[in-house]
Amino acid sequence: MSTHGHQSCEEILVAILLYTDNEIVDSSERLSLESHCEQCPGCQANLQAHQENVRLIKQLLGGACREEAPASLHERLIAQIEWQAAQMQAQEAAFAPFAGFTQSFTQTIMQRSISPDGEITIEISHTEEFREGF
Amino acid sequence: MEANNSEVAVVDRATETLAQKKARFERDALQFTNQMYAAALRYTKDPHDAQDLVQDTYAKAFVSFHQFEPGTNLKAWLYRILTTTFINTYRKDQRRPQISDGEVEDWQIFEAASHTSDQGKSAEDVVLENLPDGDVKEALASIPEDFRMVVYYADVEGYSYKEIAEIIGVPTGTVMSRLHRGRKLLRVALADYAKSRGIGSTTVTNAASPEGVKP
Repeated sequence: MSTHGHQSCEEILVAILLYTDNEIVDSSERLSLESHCEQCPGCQANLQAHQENVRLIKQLLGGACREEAPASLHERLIAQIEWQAAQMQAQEAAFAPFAGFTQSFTQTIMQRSISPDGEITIEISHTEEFREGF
Repeated sequence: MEANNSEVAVVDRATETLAQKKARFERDALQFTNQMYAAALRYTKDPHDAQDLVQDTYAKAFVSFHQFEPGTNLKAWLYRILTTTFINTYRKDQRRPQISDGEVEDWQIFEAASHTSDQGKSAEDVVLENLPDGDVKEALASIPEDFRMVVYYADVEGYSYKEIAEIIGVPTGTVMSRLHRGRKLLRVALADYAKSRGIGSTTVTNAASPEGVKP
């Protein structure tokens, strides 16, 4: 296994996968991969083959998996949201007389942990929240 | 409160009325119905189940729409709900052995990568490019769900590893391994379809090795 630049061909092989998916954000890392591939015919071939494979898969899936939802589904969704909103409206109206009341919510969380040398840590966090109305 | 009905840049969810929330949901969320439906088809493999799944997804999304942070990725948020809805309702009765728990190991990524070198722009590619859409969909449907959906989100929706990780609720490293393994499985399945149609059987010299299809 040869080395061109800082990275070995084995490292480049995995980097090629990330590179093709635009997952290498660091520009110096990208440059390092590109310069390695320029000097290394094997890695260059791997890069091209992988890019071509991903391009083909994207092309095939992109063309095949673009089904449009039937019109009846669009209608069902609109009707359903109307119904849900009406339910929520009715609920709001039912609670309207209590508007202005203050509700308080409190939450206490206790966490215990024991470190390998036997030290016990207890963390207690407490939150309070007040809401007007409902 | 401004009585301006046009695009409001900042949504104050605390003071938003129900009517405003509903209008905002219909305007912003419903535009993704087709994409949700296409993804639901990948999950359920059945048009009726897919429609039910989309409807359940939107019902849940509307109820929790106040939790959605405006300005962040709404479509990805909907996909996240689609995924959890599918897992919680549609998959409940059919607990099949998912590959998710025996995670794909690094060596498998490496192996997937190392095998791409003999699959360049070959005769097989040319054959696959002409595969009918129906075969492509079936080939995708034939690979295990964990791999199928990662490939779908990456290669159809163009999401990053991080975005996919958030949608399906797994670490980015898992997304990466499933994506590369999934593409490899898909490639094998596509080649099988091409062969079963009798196309490319004589020209394919570098068919991907089938060892990756083991469950």
